[in-house]
Amino acid sequence: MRGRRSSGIWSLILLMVASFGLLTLNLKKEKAITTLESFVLAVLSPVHGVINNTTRKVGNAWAGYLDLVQVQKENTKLRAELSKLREQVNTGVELQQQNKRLLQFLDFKEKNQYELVLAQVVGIDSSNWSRAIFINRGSRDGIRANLPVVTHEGVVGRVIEASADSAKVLLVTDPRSAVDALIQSSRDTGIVVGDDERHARMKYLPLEANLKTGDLVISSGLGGIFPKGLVVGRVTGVMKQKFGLFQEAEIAPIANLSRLEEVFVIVKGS
Amino acid sequence: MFFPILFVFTAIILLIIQTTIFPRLSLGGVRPDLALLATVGYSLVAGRQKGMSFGFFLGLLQDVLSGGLLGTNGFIKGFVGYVVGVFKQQVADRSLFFPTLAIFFGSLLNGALYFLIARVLYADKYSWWFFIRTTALETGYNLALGVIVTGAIGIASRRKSGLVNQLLKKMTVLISNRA
Repeated sequence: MRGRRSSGIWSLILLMVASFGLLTLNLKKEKAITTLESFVLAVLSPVHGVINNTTRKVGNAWAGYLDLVQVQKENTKLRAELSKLREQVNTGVELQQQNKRLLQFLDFKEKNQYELVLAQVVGIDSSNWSRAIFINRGSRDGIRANLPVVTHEGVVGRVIEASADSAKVLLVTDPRSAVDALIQSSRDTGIVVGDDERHARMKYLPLEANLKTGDLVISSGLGGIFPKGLVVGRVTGVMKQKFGLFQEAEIAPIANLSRLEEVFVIVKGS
Repeated sequence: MFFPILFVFTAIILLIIQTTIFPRLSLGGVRPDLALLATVGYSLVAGRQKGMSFGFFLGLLQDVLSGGLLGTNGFIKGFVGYVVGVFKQQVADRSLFFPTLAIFFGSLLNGALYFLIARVLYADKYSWWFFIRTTALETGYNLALGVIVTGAIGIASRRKSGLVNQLLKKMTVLISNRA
């Protein structure tokens, strides 16, 4: 116990002597000290540099990370703002387009004396074998089977089924659809039947009928469903047969049936 | 109780996709028939009777959401489900080529049956051209989608064979036992 305490004191004394000795030599700028310092510095300098660089890099990286976190936060915030603004722009564009469509509908309503019910298209046919759409108005709004459905452009189809709040509309391009129609310029009559998604055919046109591409086809009012004068489509091709009693015309529906959003149901004709 | 709910839920989801997303992917007015693909897939896993029931149910839902007569697709899809189930029993091949073949024949059968029913119900309102065109496009589209799906399953099962095969086996066992 005693030995351990005395060696401690001796160590302390040694430390003090060495320290003071070095301090004294240093104050006197002894060459040996300078050389020793240089050597130590030379040996330690690269290690120091590496450690220092690494530390700095880690420090920078950390600072960068902190900055990045800040930037990321800012970025997220800006993205959210951008998304919100885009949504607002989209809503604005959507409202503008809807407004344009509704103005056209209003114009159509004012020009015609029909009692109309505006409906939104809520669904499209699930099968490839029929062409139908679903609208959000039903018997509660006076919709029933066999009422004509139109847009401001022209005929869309007719209601084939109506539930309380929705109805199924058979498009004019469905093969089961038939519209009694006439060529506006020549007044020749025929039946427009569906053919495929984009076309219909006008059948039973007299052979002597003078048809040309671009002729407007309108409803004749004879079928009992569509009032007279509604635009059905335009003639896009004429199929004249050598034999037979009639000729046929290919018709492109005037209304864009693949992009319908709102339609009118004519609940009461003029 | 869980399985019938899953059954109905799956059918509804498929038809929602069919009536919302798929019309945007249509080529010449024709899009893949998800109800048919699901019926073929289910029949290959569960067999003729269960495939038929599923097909019938999906077809009925499809009829409700289409301009056709209620029951047309119900019958067609049910029949296709049954035939594919029988086909599964008769053919020993279990490679990825097998479902592709089933989709091809299922689509052709679907078109042929629709043609027969429409000719009986609507006489000459539907032209031959309409059927040939629609059947050809639908078969091609169904086949393309079928090849993509079965190919993806094939690649996934090769890469993560343990996990995917286990999952497929579990699904097959679950469907076979519970349906």
